Amino acid sequence: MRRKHCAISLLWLLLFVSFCLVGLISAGRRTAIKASAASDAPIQLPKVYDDANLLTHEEEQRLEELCARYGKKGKADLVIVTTDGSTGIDCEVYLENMYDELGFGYNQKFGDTVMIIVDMGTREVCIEGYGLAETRVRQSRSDYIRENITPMLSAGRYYDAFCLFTELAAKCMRLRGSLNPDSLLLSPIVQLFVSLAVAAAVVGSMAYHSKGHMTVGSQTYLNRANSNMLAQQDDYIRTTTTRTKRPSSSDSGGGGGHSSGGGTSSGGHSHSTSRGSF
Amino acid sequence: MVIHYKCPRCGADMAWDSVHGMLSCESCGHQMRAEDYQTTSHEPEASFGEYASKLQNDLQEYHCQNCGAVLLTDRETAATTCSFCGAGVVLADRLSGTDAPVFVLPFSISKEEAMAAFKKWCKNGMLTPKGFMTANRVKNITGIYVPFWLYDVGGIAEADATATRVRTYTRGDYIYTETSYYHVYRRMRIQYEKIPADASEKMNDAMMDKLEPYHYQDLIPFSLPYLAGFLAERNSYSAEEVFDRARRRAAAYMDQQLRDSISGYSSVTYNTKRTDPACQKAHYTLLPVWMVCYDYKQSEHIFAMNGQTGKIVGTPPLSKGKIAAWFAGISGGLFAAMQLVTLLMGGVFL
Repeated sequence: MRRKHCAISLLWLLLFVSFCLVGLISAGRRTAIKASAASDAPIQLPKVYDDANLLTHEEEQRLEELCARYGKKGKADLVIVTTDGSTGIDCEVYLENMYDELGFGYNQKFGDTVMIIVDMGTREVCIEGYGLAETRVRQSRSDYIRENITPMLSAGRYYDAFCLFTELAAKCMRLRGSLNPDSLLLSPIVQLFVSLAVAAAVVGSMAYHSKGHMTVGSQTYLNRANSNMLAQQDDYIRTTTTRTKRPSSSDSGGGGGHSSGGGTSSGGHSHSTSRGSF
Repeated sequence: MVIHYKCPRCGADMAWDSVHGMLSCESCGHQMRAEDYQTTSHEPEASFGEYASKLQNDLQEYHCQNCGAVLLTDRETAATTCSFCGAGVVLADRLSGTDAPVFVLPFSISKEEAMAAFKKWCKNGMLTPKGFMTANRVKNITGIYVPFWLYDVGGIAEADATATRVRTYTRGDYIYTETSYYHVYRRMRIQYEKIPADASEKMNDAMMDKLEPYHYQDLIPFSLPYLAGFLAERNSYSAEEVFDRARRRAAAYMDQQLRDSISGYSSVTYNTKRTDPACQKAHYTLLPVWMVCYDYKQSEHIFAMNGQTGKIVGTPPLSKGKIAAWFAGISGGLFAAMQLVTLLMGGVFL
């Protein structure tokens, strides 16, 4: 009886310790963020450049605050740009020029930055990531951000789109590895289900193996001396061939053509890109 | 006719010793092989006429030669121990003539070894309750020779099928799927040797099946001395009555072998499949089983152990507390671990 109680208490203790650990680490990180935010006081560049006048003055203010807040969380400068396309410059190049000119960066000049531009002239949206953001916000992740805000842009809800951008960009910056922030593997509910299912399978197999089972098969009682193949035929009849057209590699991801990849600004700063129409 | 196996040196009752493979006397330690024993048959209790009428009754009345007590047995018991003086007796008339078994597989595991093996098995389970693991409430452990019919079954197995081989390749803008059809025919002669089926009414068939396999190289021609000191049962069913079980098993095995003989194809569709096992021979055999009756929480659990290989079959009780603890432990630990990894990856957005 005592041994069973000891084992159960040990298991509960293990669980309790793991949860305490989680809590401590998260608390530690929160204080680290606060500390760094206090000591870091770089030249505060404005983050919202609304040249196409899509936002009201109050919305611009609020977006500045959001950029500051989520920028701290994601440890990257978040920059929002809108243009009406009158300059004629390609939106991707436009962002590159801004970066080279103004030198955004959370940790240093020309540092980690996530930039978004909405070009009302060509109706294109482009997201670029510099520094650490080049790895943390690239390919499927930047496509993920862009695809989530494109419906809002198409509906004309620019403010909401930019709010969502700041939130998602910060999430992507924090997440290591290559999973998207909305990946099922990270969801606590899915993890709970998986752990319950695995535990059920393990306990089930233990219960199944506790009793005895048949251990003989079709070969156990075979009298090999008296068993043999009498007749065997494998006759070819015919062949039928069908073909299907291969799905072309250039299929659309989300409304119109898009491309992602990377590039380098004229100032020599490399970045990741994701652009598409809305 | 009651037979006692008396030691020629001291006159005490001898019993079959599985450790040495001989009849051995507990009092003086004398050992002798079963073949060397000369059965001194005692006078039949009654004349032939009375003897025949006694066979009609369900309860046969025999008398222990040592103490004179009545040996109460039922119709199937062929060997037992006297409940008063403990002498091992063999009821020879039930196992002689046309009722005689052909083979017997002597016990390889002695009573002490069986108890030790059972105790070890009880400890092994991860879900067995604590009280069960100490295995000190064994109500009784009995060595029984269980009657089996060992069937030599076989016949012709035939299968006619259409099989396909599929090959895919890409050329240009198209994916080609090439399916080749084959007509497959197999005809095999398959013979199985000594498929066991238990012939005793009292023994649970499923449990007896799970005790297999027995190693038949130790099978020897039947003779009575091997039974001394153990319980033995006579068959309740004839070879024809039990054959259906063996036939079904043989048919399933033949089916499996037919399937295994057709290989290298992506898919096989059977047009006809014929398996027709027939019984060539049936050997009436006594196989050794240790029956353990365990008293746990006012309910009896019965376990059977193969008397030659030691394989134990039975349903042990499962401790609900242990199941809950394992479940909570594994799921909790796994969940905590996954959350920890997520946290380290930065996925927990605080």
